[in-house]
Amino acid sequence: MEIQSIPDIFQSKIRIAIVSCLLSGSKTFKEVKDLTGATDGNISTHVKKLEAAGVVEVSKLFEKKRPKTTYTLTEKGRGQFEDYVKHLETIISMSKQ
Amino acid sequence: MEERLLKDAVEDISLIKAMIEKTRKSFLGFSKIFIGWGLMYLGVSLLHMIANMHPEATRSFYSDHQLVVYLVPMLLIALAVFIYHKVSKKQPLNGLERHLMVLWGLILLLLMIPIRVELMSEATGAYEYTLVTVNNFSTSMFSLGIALAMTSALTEIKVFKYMATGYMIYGFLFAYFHIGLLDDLSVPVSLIILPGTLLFTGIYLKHYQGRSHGDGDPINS
Repeated sequence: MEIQSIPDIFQSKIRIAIVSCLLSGSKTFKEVKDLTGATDGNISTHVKKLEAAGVVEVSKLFEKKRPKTTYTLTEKGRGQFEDYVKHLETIISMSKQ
Repeated sequence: MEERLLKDAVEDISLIKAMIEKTRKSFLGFSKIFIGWGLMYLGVSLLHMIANMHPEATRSFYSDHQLVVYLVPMLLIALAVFIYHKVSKKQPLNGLERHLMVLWGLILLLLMIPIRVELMSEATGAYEYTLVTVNNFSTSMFSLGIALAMTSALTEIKVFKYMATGYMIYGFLFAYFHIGLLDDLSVPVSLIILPGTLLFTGIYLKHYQGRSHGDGDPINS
């Protein structure tokens, strides 16, 4: 991965935070909000972008007549994120040389 | 440009590490299970209290229905497992939560094991095994203290360490010394200590996440 070719999808701290908290498994909207500290609007906006890029899968169910939204990291998303983390580590290790 | 790139890389790595650490220390599933178990044991304590208020009726009931002695622990285990599965189905437990579950599950099973001793039967003069009720307050306090100490070590939450110390000291003093106040308090304490510990631990961990934010706000800064 070239230094200039960071995927647009990871050029946002909120999106990085959302993907990071999904690494350990699916999370509901409320859990993502509690973990990231982001506002409702920010989460919705950024999750839409992640979903459009195929990084996150969104499922909406009804539990006792109340809507429950769950986010899951896709395999593609996990792979892209791991590549991105390796890329960050490369930048840091190159700066130490 | 390179300096800015490096700064962004370091910030992103720090953010990712912080989020993973927060997720690791998420105890939502574990806390719900503990609150469920705490309420279950609260019910058991209420039944014990009622039984203690009517000792003759209780003794008569147990001698007529000896199977109840074995059935009650099995029912408690079944209910505890049901609560665990119901919660973990909706809220899968992370690695740390699973380790804590194993630890506490073993301690709670230990507390259920009745004491079996060999006594000489008055009728036959032969030694027979029988189940007896003994005051296992000290071992219960120590067992819970061990579980709390391990929970503190795994979660790095200090309040459990202080609770563990208090429980173990009380158990030790009760076992080896006759201190009037401690002896008098042991009966009411024994009724509330287990449900109280489970409920406090569950409720504390449920709200812990909200208090565990680091300095600053890396996302919105």
